[in-house]
Amino acid sequence: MERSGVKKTPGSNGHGVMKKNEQACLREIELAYRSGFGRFLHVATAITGSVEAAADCVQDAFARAIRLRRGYRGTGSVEAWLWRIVVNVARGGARAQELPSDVEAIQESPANSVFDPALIRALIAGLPERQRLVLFLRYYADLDYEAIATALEISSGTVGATLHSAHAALRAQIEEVSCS
Amino acid sequence: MTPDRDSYVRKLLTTAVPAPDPAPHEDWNAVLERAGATPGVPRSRRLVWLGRAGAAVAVATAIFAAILLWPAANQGSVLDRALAAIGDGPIIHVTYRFKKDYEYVDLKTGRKTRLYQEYEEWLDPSGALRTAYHVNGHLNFTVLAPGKNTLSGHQKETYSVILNGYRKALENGTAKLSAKTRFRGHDVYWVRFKGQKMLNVSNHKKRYQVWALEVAINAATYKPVYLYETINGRPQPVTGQAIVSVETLPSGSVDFKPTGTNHTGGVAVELGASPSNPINLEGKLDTRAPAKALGATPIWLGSSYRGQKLAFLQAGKVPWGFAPSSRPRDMRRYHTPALVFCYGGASVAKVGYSHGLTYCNYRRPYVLLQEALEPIPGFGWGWPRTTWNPGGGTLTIPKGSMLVFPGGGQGLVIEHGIYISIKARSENAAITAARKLKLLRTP
Repeated sequence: MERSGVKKTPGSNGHGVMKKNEQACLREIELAYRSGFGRFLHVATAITGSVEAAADCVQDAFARAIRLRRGYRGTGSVEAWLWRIVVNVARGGARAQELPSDVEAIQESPANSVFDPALIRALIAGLPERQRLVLFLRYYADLDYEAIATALEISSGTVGATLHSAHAALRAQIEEVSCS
Repeated sequence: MTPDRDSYVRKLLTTAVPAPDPAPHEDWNAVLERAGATPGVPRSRRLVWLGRAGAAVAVATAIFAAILLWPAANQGSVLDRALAAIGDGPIIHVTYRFKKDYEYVDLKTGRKTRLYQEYEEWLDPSGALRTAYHVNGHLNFTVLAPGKNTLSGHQKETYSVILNGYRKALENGTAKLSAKTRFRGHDVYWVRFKGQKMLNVSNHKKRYQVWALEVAINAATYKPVYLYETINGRPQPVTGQAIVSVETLPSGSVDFKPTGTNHTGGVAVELGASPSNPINLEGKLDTRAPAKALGATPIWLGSSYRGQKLAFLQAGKVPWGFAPSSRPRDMRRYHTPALVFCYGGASVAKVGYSHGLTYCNYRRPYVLLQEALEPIPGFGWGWPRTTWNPGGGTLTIPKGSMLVFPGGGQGLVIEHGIYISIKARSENAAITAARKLKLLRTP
């Protein structure tokens, strides 16, 4: 499997940059925001189930990152650190949703018979949370194992194993649907 | 995992959640404001919000200091004027507006209109509530809760705070002036008032939570122009609403009696099954069969459409439910005749609970039509999921227009009294198909 690196933001050296002064740190966060907003929004949408809630979460996460930038330890890439914040805020946002999302509604309808994106979402929603997050970060954010590990605060080996399990679980449910 | 399988999973995930359009949401300055990091903005003005209806949420992180510093005399003056601005009649009348991510597309010109909704509410002191829903200025339908015991406890608490609590808080002095800012081109004062303890239905460990509101009042008119909700002090996403008007009315000026078109609110519930009885397409189609199944002349795209043959046609009754707000457990069940037309290819599920069922093959170009004589939740018509009821009014889609869902590829039209959901690979494909709909005439 190709292990592509974290997409570099313009001006990013990837590691340890938060030792710079605060203005430089702010610029680093801004660059990550401007160059990667679409991917942050995509992952947050997958987690929250709503584009509007996701947009709010991404805005909130970056605001938090700005406020927390002094507390950044300088290990790992800035972008992976930002991903951790975005994922955590989006997970909080998903829990705050009181009304069932479309995904949940379909899960509660075992007799649903339409194989459509909503059903695929329902199948993905049936995976354990860690598997879901690893899939989202791998495929929506294009992060490599190291960056996913930093974002989710797990080891790279666990990322690989989790991704493998997620693929296997999805395969069992989806790939056997074949064209007639 | 092989590259092929990797790309397959990627494609699958992208199908499940297509990349949203970031343009409407990307706003670095809003992030800076939220973080309280905007250069040159005084500390007392670090009220943070996303100034966008629907997604807009004000974040009141730096208001507390302002509350303490605000001169008491000025507070009283502003709040007194705010109270005077809404009047002292017994009936409160409020209209909220928020934008939706849905659009109407004029099928003739292609012109798109972003959809907005207005909720107009009247509440009298007995607890009778009348709500009118408008979509893009057109009355959609009315919901009526005609007095005692018709609203759930949660609704009573919610409505009483939104409609009545603001005035009470101004009267009894519990409302607090928290900041003065620029908001949507106007100077506004922000007024915070404590709501009440409410049962937290989504978290059983913390059974109660404190719900409150922040209201922006126009600094010139002193009338409310915007509000958002907080829970335990945390702004709640997607609760921001523009307030079009607030007024109080004299007793007897509003009719709270039920009429034929009123109904109480509730939740439309999807119960899952789709039509699964195939109509034979071998040889010449017996056009009477689908008409008989639907109970009306169906709409279709012909026996083939843009090189895609009619792969299958299914008929049946779709079960769904409606749970009234006052007693959700008393869900009523309905079975509505419906048809499914699939153009393109068919697939058969070989695993899972849908084993043996036939689907439209979404991996190739396709158009899927689902139609019925009333909107069925989960059959394309999931919106607005909480606000309609059988016989209680119809969802308005202007004639000759299509309601397009965010994310593309799906839309709704009403033709000849038939509610039709159209799904295709892209928004353009769905719109193009909508333009080609025609009656399936019987000989």
